[in-house]
Amino acid sequence: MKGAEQAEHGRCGGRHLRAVVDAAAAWLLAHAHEVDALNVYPVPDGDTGSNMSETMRAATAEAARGDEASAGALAAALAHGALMGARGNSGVILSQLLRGFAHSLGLSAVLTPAALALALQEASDTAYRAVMRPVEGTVLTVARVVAEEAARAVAERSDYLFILDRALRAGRIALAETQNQLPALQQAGVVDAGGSGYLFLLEGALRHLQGKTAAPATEVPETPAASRAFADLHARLDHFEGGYGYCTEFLITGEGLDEQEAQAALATLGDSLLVVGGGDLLRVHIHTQDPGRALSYAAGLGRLRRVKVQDMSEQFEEFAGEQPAAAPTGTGDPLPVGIVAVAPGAGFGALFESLGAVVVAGGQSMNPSTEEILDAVARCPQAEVVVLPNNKNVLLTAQQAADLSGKTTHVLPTRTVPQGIAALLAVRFDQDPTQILADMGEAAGHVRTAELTIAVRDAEIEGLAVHTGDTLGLLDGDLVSAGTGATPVLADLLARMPADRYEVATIYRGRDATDAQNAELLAFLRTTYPDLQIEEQSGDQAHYHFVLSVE
Amino acid sequence: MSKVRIVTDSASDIPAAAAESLGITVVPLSVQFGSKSYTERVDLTSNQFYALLAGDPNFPKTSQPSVGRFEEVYRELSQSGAEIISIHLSSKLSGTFNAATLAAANVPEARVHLVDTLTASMAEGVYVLAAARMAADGQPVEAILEAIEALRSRVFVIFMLDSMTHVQRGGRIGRAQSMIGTLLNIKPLLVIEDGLVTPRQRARTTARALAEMASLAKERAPLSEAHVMHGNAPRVAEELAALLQPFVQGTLDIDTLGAVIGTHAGAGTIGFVGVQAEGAVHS
Repeated sequence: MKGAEQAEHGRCGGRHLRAVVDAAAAWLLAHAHEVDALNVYPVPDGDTGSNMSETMRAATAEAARGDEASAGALAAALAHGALMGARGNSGVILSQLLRGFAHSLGLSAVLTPAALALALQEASDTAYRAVMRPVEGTVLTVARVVAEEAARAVAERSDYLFILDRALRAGRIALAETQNQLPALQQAGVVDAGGSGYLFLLEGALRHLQGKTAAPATEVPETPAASRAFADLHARLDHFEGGYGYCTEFLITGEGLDEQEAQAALATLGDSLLVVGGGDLLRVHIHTQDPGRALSYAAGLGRLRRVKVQDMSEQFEEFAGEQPAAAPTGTGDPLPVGIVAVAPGAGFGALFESLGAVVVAGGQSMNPSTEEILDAVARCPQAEVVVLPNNKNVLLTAQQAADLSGKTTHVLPTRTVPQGIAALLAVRFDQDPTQILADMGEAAGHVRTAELTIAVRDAEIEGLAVHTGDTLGLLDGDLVSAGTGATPVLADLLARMPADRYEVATIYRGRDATDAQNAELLAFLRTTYPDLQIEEQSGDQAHYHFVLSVE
Repeated sequence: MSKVRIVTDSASDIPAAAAESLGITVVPLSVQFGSKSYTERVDLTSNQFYALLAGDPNFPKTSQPSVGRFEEVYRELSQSGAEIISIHLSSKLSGTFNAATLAAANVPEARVHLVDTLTASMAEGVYVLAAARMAADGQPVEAILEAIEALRSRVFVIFMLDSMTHVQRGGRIGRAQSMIGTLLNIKPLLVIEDGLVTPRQRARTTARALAEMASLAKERAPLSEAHVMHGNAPRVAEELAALLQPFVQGTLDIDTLGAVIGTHAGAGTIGFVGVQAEGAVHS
């Protein structure tokens, strides 16, 4: 084939481009955990690496389906895959970078070095346009510097390796500089996570062109037999014995990992256990009521990778085709607008469904993709839909889904789950969508949200000294308080609201909260705020022991 | 000129004193607790009903008046040569209107004009009282019927249920199906539209629900009259009346929901019936 030969000599066609992008995605995946750790707040929501990696996975999967011979068509497939599979704000920006890249290529059969430089520039421009208020010191800055340097380099020498190498070097300097551009990054002592993820992609591409292996040695490809065993297990178990709990899967990488030993230890924690591998890689599947214990044990053996925890009761209900109790039926009036709510936890999911919303599972450390939100919008019988992201990190994905939807779709930028619940309750059955949207926004603005979580590392944030294991208190999504124990931190948050100006407090218990903590919090609330009407609910959210709202 | 007599059913919740002074014939519906049957207002007052509702393990049921009972009433009233206007509970909520229609056909000598108010309780009562006043004034049937039709766009009702249990169990949930099954503790706010129970919105607290009702009163102000109705919740009723006061030009009173409506709404129900002042109808 003429095209394949040409790729070696500076004219890159679709198949060749695909191999490069696959390598780039693999390199990012191999470093996803590192990117996750670049987290400004010491709260357990660092998932930029995972989100970008998942987005790339969706992009390369789409590209693999088409197997396009033309570079332009291949890039378009990547862009489409990323668009639908984008997770988290970083994933959305990545999808916009790919969109710009593809747009620049147009219908070109090959990607020349000059076209590469132009495409990197359009990628950057498109990403800037996609963000309402672009902030320097983020992935945007890194992408722009990369594009500028690529343009300079291609003027000197029309060569992929040369351009990518120069662009990457400039990108690394820009990335290091992000720490000085954003005070939040400086305080946390980290560089921008999205920018870092972008550079891992470029680095992976460069390494591929240099003939280096893309993935580190620990990425041992699974044997076909082991993969089949997992697939079979899923086919059998996930169609259900009716046992609830969490389907938990992960990889452990490390040294001298013992399959038998892990098998024996994990067997006490659940059923449907499968442990495959040994040496430097173990793959684990378990159905357990307490995924935290399985993960803690595994983290003691080595590094955890590709952790996937799924609520089987949710899956089961979906599988059994049960309708939520409050689903609009043939005899009842549906809400005048469809509501799609992102819910972090089965408890919140059930609450939203009971109020008539279509639920997308996701939230902290488990951001839903554009496609998942889009599907939910399509499932609403109504012509007009409001999406409640309920998390600032889901906002862009929600907006992207709204843009792609064939329905009139609005995004109400709710930052916390209680804001979403308040907004949903404000929907009047006798109003037009414009008025409803206004009422929802107003209601969301009236609720105050306190969230309690545990610090995952030492840090100093806004003059607040935080130690690993401290309880952190967030007020309306912002970290404002830290201390030892849930009650003192909550007391501080309630005083800041201040809670005595409100009528009802709703306390949503997380899956990691203990009965003792719960009892202590309730006793505190009742004695300190005797006039507050208190309602207890199970949110079943991960990471956040308690979410409390007043309204 | 022949006299006009007004007939209604006990679900209209009109005060007994008004019925007596205006000469309104109230045909009672009945309420059963288990095997025990009571006739509304005859051997079951509102207070007795709410005491039973709280204490009796059986959920009550209601029965419409018999066709025969209506026939008796129509026959008796027509003997004096009077024309009859028979005003009833929404035909979509009860078979009462249907029973009255059959009875009227069975008593051809009586000249009966039937009115389906497409609503209930004092919203129905507003039509009954207005008609009875005009009849007492000696107004002709046509004028009274015209006035009733003119009232339709001015009368409205909104109410909050303490729980959806009764309205669901009694099968009168209508278009508000979508409000059941809520895991969060909310107060459903409902209206009656085209004769059916219809959802309006969901409030998180009673205070919020009352404020929403007051805002509806404000929207439709000025009101020529308003009637706060409650399912044995007099204190909350006082609160609502105070909130409504600024928007009401004429009568503002408070009354208990009768046994039949109470059976379907449950204790703790609170709401009001409003009548927009003439000329205040926008929309």
